[in-house]
Formats: sequence, structure tokens, C-alpha cells
Amino acid sequence: MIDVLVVDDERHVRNLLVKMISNAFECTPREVQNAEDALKICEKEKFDLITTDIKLEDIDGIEFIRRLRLRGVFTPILIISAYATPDDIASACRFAPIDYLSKPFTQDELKKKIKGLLEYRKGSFERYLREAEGFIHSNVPGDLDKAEQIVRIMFSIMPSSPTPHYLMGEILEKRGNEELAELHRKAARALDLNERGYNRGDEIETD
Amino acid sequence: MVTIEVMKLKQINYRLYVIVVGCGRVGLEVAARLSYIGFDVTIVEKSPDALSALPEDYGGFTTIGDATERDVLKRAKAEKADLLITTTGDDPTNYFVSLIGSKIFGITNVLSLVRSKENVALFEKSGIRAISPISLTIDTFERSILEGVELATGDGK
Repeated sequence: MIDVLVVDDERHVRNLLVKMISNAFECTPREVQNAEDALKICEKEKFDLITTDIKLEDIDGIEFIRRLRLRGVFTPILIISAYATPDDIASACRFAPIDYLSKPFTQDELKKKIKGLLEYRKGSFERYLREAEGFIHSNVPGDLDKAEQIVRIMFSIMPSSPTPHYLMGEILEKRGNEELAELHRKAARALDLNERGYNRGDEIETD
Repeated sequence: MVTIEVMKLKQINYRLYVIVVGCGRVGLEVAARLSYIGFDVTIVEKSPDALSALPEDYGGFTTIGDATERDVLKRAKAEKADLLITTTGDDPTNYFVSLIGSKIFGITNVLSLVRSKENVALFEKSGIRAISPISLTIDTFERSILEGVELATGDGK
């Protein structure tokens, strides 16, 4: 079960993407037809994956991705387009995690790309986790702030994971803000369906 | 309209990649049904206006361009196609596109609409399966007439 947002100005392509993704991953993707609506939704909701065209009604797809990243949304993005130039792709690569699929494509090709992006996300999540752990447990002043920044990125790449909440709890506890720390621990437990809790160095669960 | 055959195919869940050339009355309906069944469909059409006639729930791709140009078929990824269907109103165009599809892009299954009955043999000789509306109409008439005769003479019982 994953949450997907489909951004495309062409009605038929949206239909197709929604159909293919819901077939392959048993989910109901949200769809919007322009970048403005997409940005609005992303402010309120978290997604595991966003697909977007390069040519959109209002702003171009690369600009859309840039704005998303500036707002601290690090969701993996799959660019779907018939007209992307090498320049487009090169400028999009700065906003990793990102992948590109050219139209027309088959369901199997789409599935492979999405799986790849989700795998990548898991990998980067783990790297961030190790980094954040390092900062939390070092006693250098200022490292807690660095840890907090990393945890914020972790929130946006895996919104449904309890781990960032556990980490945030630890950071706040170290700062002496027991009240807020407890809130994050509560949120973590609510998301932690298997009640695994969190111990330093644990492996990440795949969803 | 969704026929029982379409419902059956939908359950099998085939996933072939089909290119439909021409978005006229025939091409449009064929593409819409194939996409409904679950095939991966791309329509190649010269005029962008014709594409606006596609039904709201059509789930497939569209490539705008002249299918007799090799670049256009390449953009539609013809080399990956399992099936090519040509449905333009012009037999020479259908023939030419079908030939490019089979000879240059190596598509093994090519189906073509053939307006003029005289051209059917030519298409078939080149390994293109021809669908001629006139022949189909005549066949259907003949069958209906024979059935009528059977009913009238009582032989059909």
C-alpha cells in the first residue's frame, strides 16, 4: 500500500497512470492536472511517490519539482514525458530521488521504475538514519540541530514510518523538552503497527 | 458499448502493446475498447482535433504526427509493438504504414482496415490481415438472408 500523486495535464495519461498504478500496487492514486494544485495538496498531505509530466499547464515540471524541494518535500519523483531533452533530465537530476520514463510505456516498465524509486528511498532513508543517530549521540554542541534537520528530511521521504518520530523524541528529550518529546513518542507508537519500538542501529522495516 | 467478449478479455488481463493508426470513427472505438480491456495502447493521429473526440475514460497514449513518417512511428515506440492496427480512410496510407510497421519495425501482427474490396488481396499477399467493411457487410447480409429463408421454409427447426 503506497500513496501516490499523479500530476499530468492530459486526461488520458492520468487515466492510464491511475489504472496502471492501482493495478500494480493496490492503491488509489490521487490525480491533479496542474502544478499549483499539486503544490497545494503536498502542503497538506504526504506521498510515497509523485509522477509528473515535464509539460504542465501552468509552470514546467522541472520548476514544479524545484519548488517542491524548496518546500522541504523530498518525495521520490518519476518524470513521465515524451519530450524531455537531455538538458531537462540533467537539470532534474539535481533534485534526487528522481527517475525518468518516456511515453509511451507499458505497465511493466512503469512498475519497474516505481519499484526502483521506492528501493532507493529505503536506501537513502537508512543513510539518513545512521547519520542522524551519529549526531544525536555525539556531544558536540550544534549536532542536535543537524540531527533535527536530517530527521525533517526523513519525515518527508517516509511519512508513514515511526522512526523519525522516535528520533525526534530523543532529540527533544536531550533538549529537555519532555512534553513535546512525549507527543512524538506517542505519534511513533501510533504508526508502529508491529510495536517494534526503536533501538539504535535497528534495520528498517520495508513497507 | 461493451460486449461480452470484451468483458471476457478483461478478466484474462492480456497486456499487449498496440499501436492504432488513425483516430477516425473506427480507430477511436478500437483504441478505446483495447485500453478498456487493459492493453497498452497508443493512438497515432495527424490532426490534434481528432483526438478530442476520444472518450473521457480512454486510458492510453496519443502521438500526434503523420504515421507514414518513420520518426513518428519511432516516437510511438513501434519497435516494441505486439500489434499494429491501421484505420485511416485511405487504403494506400494504410498499406504503406502497415508495411513500414512489419518490414522496418518488425511488428508480427498487422491488421488493416481496407476500404476498397479490390485491395484486400494485395494486403493479404503482404502478410497484412485485411478487414474490409464492404465484405463484412455483404457477408452479414447473406447470412441474414439465408437465415430468413430457413425460417420461411421451416428447415431451420
